[in-house]
Amino acid sequence: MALPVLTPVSQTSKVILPSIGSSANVISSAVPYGIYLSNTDFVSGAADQVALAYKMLGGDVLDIELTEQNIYTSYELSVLEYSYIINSHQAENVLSDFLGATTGSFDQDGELKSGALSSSLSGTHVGLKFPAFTFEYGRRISTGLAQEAGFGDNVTMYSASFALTGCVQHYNLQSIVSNSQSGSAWDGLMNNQKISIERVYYKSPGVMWRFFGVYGGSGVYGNLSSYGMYADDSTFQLVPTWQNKLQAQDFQTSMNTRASHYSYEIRNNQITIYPAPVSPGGGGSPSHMWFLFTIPKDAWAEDPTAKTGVDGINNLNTLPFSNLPYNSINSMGKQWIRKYALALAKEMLGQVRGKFGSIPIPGNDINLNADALLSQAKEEQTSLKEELKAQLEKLTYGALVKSDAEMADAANQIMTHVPMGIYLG
Amino acid sequence: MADESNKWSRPDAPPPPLFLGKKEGDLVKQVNDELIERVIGQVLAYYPISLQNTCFHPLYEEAIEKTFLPPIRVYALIDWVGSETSTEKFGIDRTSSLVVHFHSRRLNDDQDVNVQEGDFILYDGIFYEIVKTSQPRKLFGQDNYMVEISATCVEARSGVFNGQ
Repeated sequence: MALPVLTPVSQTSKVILPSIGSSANVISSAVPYGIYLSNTDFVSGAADQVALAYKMLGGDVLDIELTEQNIYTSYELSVLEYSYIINSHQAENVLSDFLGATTGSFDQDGELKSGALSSSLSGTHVGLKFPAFTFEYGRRISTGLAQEAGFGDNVTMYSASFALTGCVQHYNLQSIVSNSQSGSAWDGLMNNQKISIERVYYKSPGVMWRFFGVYGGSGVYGNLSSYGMYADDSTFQLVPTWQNKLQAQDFQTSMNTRASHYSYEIRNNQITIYPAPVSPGGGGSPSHMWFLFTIPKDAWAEDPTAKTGVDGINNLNTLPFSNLPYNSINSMGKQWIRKYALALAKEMLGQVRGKFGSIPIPGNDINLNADALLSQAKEEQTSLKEELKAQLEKLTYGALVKSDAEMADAANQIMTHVPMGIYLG
Repeated sequence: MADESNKWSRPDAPPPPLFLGKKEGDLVKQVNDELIERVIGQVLAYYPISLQNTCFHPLYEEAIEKTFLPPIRVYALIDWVGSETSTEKFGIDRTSSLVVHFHSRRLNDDQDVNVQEGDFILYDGIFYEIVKTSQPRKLFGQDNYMVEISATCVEARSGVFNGQ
């Protein structure tokens, strides 16, 4: 007798992964974040992942107690995990160049919100840009330290002068500068701070010095009648370039140490001129003394024009990196994402099958493969991440430079074994 | 005397059990369905007897000709107890018996089958009569979550039931 063929009236409460996904089902309720839902390529990739999970987890043979939404979630998380690792790698590459630049604002998904970004980081997806290698970290330190010491192009040097008075040696430079603030370049900047005197000098006609230098040794070329009126180098000879360079250095040294009639001493910004000026402005004595000074300021304060301050990007957290755009992930990345999403799906399946230690069946109990699924999933996820990170470690800019240097050294070493050709003439 | 207005009353929508809700119960059912039907695949035909359409003997309340409803294909886990041969005054007699473990929710929810004594099954070309039923297990002790219906079946003697 043939068995009757009957169909059950219903099949309720089944959760079985379909063999293929559907792009129409990749919607906001199907994924936790929906970061990439507007990207049709992502939607297609997520739908394709269902077929992969179905095949790889044995859906052809037995049921997989997952929904396609579980697979879409695993796919989105996989893309985000890939983005996290790549962004971390790139942060390692570029952080020193981006330090001090304006950071951004981020929404709950880690996407950049509308707001100010510095011009050097303008536009979106800074993480995709090749850095300018400005070495902001080293620059900031050197700039700050130089500023502390009064050097560097961030230190404004001010110039002032005072009239000499006959037979008066002592002058208070602090008072001179302070009393002349109004309308000056340093108006409002002093704040009762002690200025720092950088240089004191007086002037004679510059043209004479520039033309004759320090080696003239004879004749009167200046308009003064003291020692400093004399200049050297009234003869002209052909000399090598290095000698001219040495002469230039010697000229500057001579100007500072020998070719001045006056010297001075400063204590607490009280200057004492030696010797005491006689008939300033007449009889061969200068009428004024000039001095350069700086006004101390916080070397580490924000400078809105030079972007050397302490605000802005300071570490990994404030780098304006949003999630990687899906279309900026190449084929290698896409394959990593598929494999990682599969491992995540396997973990989900393990969680489902593992809620009960054993499941009662008529007349018995059975144990499902939850433990095996979970251990395999964790192992695969760890392996994938470690493999990717290990590869990225070899590809940091620093590592690439070292690799290139090693290659150049090796190439040079090879060249040393190549016989040199003999020039026969 | 107890205050009548202070009696406990069951809420209209009691919260679901924390550990075993509908999803968990459905998962167990799904795994059982898959295991029983697709992995193990033991199948039998269930012949429910129609009490309304069977003519019973007015004195003995037995029916030589039993009217059955259309048979239903049912998957179940079947324990073959074995066959026994006995020698009696009428000669040698050999009977076999089974214990059939039906998946309770599959039968009740999907196939609308109520297993009861007196019904017949066809298994491996032999008709068996259900002589005893029991429901030994609940799913983690939850109400309304019977795991199985266990039916003890003995081979129907020739002439007792004709399902051909």
